[in-house]
Amino acid sequence: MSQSMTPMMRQYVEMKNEHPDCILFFRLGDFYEMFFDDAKKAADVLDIVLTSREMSGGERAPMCGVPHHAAENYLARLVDHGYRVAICEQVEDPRKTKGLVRREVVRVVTPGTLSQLQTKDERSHSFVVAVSENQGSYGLAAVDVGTGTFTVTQFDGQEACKLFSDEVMRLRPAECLPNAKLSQDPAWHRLVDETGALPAEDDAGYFVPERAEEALLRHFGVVSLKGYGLEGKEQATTAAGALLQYLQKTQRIFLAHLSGITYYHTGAYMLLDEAARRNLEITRRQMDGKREGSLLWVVDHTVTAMGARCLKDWLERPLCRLEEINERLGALEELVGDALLRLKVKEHMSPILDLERLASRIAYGSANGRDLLGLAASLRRVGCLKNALAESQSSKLVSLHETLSTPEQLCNAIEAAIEPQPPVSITEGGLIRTGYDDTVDQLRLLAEHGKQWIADLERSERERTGIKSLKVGFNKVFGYYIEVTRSNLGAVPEDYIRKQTLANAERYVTPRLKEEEEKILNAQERLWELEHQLFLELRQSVLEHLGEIRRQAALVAQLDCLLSFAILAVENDYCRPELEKSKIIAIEDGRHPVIEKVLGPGQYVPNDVQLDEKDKRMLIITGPNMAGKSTYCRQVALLALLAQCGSYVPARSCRLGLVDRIFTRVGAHDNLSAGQSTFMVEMTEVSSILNAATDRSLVILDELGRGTSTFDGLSIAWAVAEYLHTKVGTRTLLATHYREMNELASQFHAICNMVVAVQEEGEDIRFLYRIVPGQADASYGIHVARLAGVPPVVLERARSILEKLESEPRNHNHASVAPRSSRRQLALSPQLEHPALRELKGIVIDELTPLEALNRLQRLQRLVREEES
Amino acid sequence: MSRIARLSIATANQIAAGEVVERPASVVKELIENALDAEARRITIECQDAGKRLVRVTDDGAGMDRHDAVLSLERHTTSKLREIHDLDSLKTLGFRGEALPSIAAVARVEILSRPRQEMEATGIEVEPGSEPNVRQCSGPPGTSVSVRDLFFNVPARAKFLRSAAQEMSHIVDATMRLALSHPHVSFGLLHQGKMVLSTSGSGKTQNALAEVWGADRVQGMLPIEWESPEGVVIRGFAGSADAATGHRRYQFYFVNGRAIRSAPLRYGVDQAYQGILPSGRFAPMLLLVQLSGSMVDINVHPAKWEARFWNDRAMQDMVTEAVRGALGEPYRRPPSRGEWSASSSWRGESHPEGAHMAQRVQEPLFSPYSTPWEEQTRWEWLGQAHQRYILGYDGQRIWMIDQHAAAERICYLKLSEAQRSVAQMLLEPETVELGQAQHQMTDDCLQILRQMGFEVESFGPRTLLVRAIPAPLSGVPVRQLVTDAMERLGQHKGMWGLQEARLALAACHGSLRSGQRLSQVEMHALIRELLATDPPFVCPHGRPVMIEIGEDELDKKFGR
Repeated sequence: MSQSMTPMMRQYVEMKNEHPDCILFFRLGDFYEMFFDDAKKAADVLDIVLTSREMSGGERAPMCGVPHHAAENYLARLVDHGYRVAICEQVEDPRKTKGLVRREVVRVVTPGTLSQLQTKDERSHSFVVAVSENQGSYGLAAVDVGTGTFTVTQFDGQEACKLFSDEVMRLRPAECLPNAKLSQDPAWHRLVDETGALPAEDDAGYFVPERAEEALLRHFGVVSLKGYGLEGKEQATTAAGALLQYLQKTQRIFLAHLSGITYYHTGAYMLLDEAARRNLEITRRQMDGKREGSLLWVVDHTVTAMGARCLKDWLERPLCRLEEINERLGALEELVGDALLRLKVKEHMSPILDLERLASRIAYGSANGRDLLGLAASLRRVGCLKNALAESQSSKLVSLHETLSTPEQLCNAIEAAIEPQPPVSITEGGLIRTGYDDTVDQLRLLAEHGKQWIADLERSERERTGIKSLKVGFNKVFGYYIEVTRSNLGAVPEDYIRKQTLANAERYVTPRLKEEEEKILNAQERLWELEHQLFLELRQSVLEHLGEIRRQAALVAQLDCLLSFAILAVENDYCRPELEKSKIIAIEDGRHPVIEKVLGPGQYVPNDVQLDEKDKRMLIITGPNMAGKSTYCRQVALLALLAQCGSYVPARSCRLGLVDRIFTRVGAHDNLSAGQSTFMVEMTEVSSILNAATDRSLVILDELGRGTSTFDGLSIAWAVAEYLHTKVGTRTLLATHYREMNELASQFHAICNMVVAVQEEGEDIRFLYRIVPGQADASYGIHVARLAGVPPVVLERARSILEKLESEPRNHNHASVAPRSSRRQLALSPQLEHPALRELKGIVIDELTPLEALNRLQRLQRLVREEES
Repeated sequence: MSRIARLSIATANQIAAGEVVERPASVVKELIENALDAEARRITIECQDAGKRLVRVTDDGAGMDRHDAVLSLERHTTSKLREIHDLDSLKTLGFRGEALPSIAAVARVEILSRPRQEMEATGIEVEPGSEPNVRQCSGPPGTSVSVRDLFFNVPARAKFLRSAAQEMSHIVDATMRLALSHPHVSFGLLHQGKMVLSTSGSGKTQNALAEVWGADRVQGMLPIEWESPEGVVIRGFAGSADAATGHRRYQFYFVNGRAIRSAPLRYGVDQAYQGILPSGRFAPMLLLVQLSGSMVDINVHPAKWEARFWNDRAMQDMVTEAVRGALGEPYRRPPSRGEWSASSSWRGESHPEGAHMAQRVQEPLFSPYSTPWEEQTRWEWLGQAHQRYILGYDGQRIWMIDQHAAAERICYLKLSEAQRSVAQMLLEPETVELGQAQHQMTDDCLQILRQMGFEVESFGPRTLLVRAIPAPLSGVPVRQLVTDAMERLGQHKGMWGLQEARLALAACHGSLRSGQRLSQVEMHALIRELLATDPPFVCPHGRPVMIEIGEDELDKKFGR
């Protein structure tokens, strides 16, 4: 770098040295400029022109820039590419300073903190996360700067690592800050890669426990963190404090909207691991990660952004306690049964803005007059919601009625100060109401009087000049003028100065007129400055109410979720589930909520499910693929999930014994990049199920043992089934193509066989999509291949091979498969008694002669041989 | 030579179809009625292209087995009656055996049906003129009937169909009627995949009403409960005057559970609202009439819209009495304690399902007057009360007049009378400073103001120069007048702007506010002006201007 730099360039270099790892947005006039390497990188990513600027000594520095008012989009793009951006603003008014204007970095924008400026999707959170590990304890803290959400949890004990990973995956953070131990752990890095988060670095000892705790205490202004539930949770506290410090450094404001911190414990909810969430497509589709086609997509009927985020949370964390679930269901019953209430609540709730985001805008100092008025209006709506619930009976609605309230003082203050329908800008006046501040009123009157004086000029000038048709007027270009028609031009006095000529008239000004106009403009300028000042004061005063605003926002979000469940139930014919402490699952005419929606009315074939503790703990479901086995299994899991979220379910009736965890092992999914084959992935998932399932869990196993050879697969599947049935005692739905597994039902009485109903018609088969008790009598694999369009010559060959294989005697024992017959409605195979046995039973030995006995024996032998062929 | 030949079945069907199937809404109605007869609890109606391309009605009712499904497409087959005298004891909606075959004669029909206990469903596809294609397939319990390409084979019919919006509104209408008369059934109506109407089937009529007509319209409605000695039962809900509209779209009439259009019923309702609403204004109304089958004939028209009563006049009067009973008559009902002429509250015993209803006490409405207004000279003016009400006595009744509402009415009429109101020049032009909102005024707004009689022009960034105001509003502070007018114009665009601006100005500046003392001369003048308008019952917003109390009522108050 050249020796003699301009003072400005020197300032730039100083700033840049403070933030070497960021791209520096340097404010110059209406632009943010970037220099040197930054410029090159940015020009490439943002697709803008790379120019250069002269520095002293004839050297030119590469440069590019973006306009200030459009900066957000460019910021977003840079951040998307993984860059951090430090924003350096002019902190003095350039018009008032001589020489170099002082500049400061006001914010560092990172992937996790972009949400304050811009959101891609207001219905989801965008988290920055800090994680801390020590001696097997994991602390996890998460903040969404856009909404002010601050949550933290801790994992201890045996499963800590797995639970911790699952929770990180669930949060899907945009940015992660690990402590020193974790940042050296390759497993952690793999996890971060999977979530796509940008890793941040702790370069200032954020994770030192004392510092972390100190930071928290100072921020919340308390002497102990006990009130937040953080007592004794060292890792959680450390993670939370580290995160807070990191944010303070990058955001550089007092994070007023982080008004509280919530400690939660994952064990209080139904546990779903990442595989289950993925397989059941709860918030995103497995195929492409889109929201459309997921359970959330079907269920979401919320009307506010806060409600949408809350609903996502409710679906990801179903409840586990009967009283809480019934509380929600009770509120739901009331909302469903009383249309007037439901419609009124919806009416009052719809106009409510995203209070959480508004709160954060206020904290960041980017809220304008409209935002404040919007805030006041929305808070008033909260009072209307409270009134709408005045006559509710159910406990949840009553409690909401009692806790919802409008912060009257705040709303009054805002409404008294801000003019209705204010402009977007806060520096161009028109913002403050008349009557709020004396000086403002005076200045306004001054400007007004000035104008009235000018209007009065019409009469006085008419008198003075005697021109009856004289008029005063206003024009954007020339300002105020006196207009005289052509015919009167003679009577125009001397002090009139001609300004504009028209076809039939001339327009003049007088010195006095111009003087008044000047006064008006001056008053205007002072007025605008004062209004700006008053606005800033008002906005500042709102900060102390942020905690209350966020509390109300959370209540509104809850009500919105209940409302959403109610609308869902009404529009889709759902019923109220009955939850109990037993282990029963009894569903009548159950439907898969997503598939029935996608197919349309009158298409989805409903099915019953019956599971209980004693006689039907495990269902083994056989039948051809694509006939509804997987859907059936997933349907049961989804209904259990919905029911425990406190929602109605798509069924005619539903009784459900509480489920503590749902496990799924579905489909073939390999993770080659992580060095795992299909089978390996499968076995990993299975092992976690076997280790973690309890007798209160629900396990869905679909095509277990698919990834390996038939005998291995069958053996493993068999053993797993036995183990789950006997040792774990969990409720299980096992869909399989191994017909041999039907034998389990005769060995264990709590295992039952179910089969997909199939109708044969010659070469064709028809799926009836009904799951009924029984066994599959054939695999129909060839039929399905035919449906898929496999060439006939291949099918023929397959058929002959099949015949050969089926006729060969097998070494190991498996259930005798009843012979196929064409035209059978149900694939039932009743255990027929062997004719030889029947005959044997009928023999009366005393009455046989030796010859007869020999004959009989021969007959019996023949019968047995015949049956076998 | 023989010229008469038998019509083919197909042709006969088409002809009959002409009567039953007028438009997609007829298809919807027929199919829904079939579903209801099958005891469905959930009925979904899907429409594409306002029903022209597709109408599909799906229900979860009894379903049909193969034999029934095939037969349903034949004419004059029905499960609903066996002999003609069954008509009298008819409890179902469909009975003529014409709906499905008629529809199938003018569209491509698909049926998918399965009785609950069967394993397989029956699927039928049929086109007019050809044999139906029947097969077994999978399906949920219940029935789903798809009607595609309505009138594809009778283009003349197809051309008569109106725009998509109009046809859809007929469909919505038909669905609404059936949903309201069957509140225990849950309905879902979709158009192009979007939910247009949805009822929960909770069993309570007021729920269905709220879901169908919206909470606001329904909130003020009063229950109707009435029975005659002959066994005619009239139930329903009567809307309040402020929810009145200029059309009858929110008036539904049902006889024995069937949606009906009937003059006697309509006139009966109108009669009941006489004196409360000016002619041409209709309050929301749900009227459910139950009477013995011998007193009404419903088999009049194939589309079953009309009914013939044993005595039209008697029916009409019964309706009037029933509705009046709900609205409350000052002199027919003894006033409840402490309140003038309040009728039963929402929560009264007369209404069985009062549990969840919001509290609502009806405001006193007044009855049709009989005193000719020209005899005002017989009126004695008693004075002014609360600086708000003028009291008078006409020899028979005591009258109370809201001076502000009266002034409003007078002013409004004056403003509306002239095409372009007479303007009153101001002594001096005045500047009016506008707020941020009004500052975005358009030339249209200024134009409307000029039409009303203002003379205005732009005078600075947020300023107007006013030279003249409408004559009827002289005496009102100019600034306030103009700001108010601008505000109203900002809210309503176009044609309504003028109307609303007039309303606003009349309302706020009709020279008299509550709380203004009037001398006797002033009172006389006001009343005289008021009586010159016709009829002098309601202010422009629909609020009453005058209330009367008869002698009987006074007597009862004093316990005589």
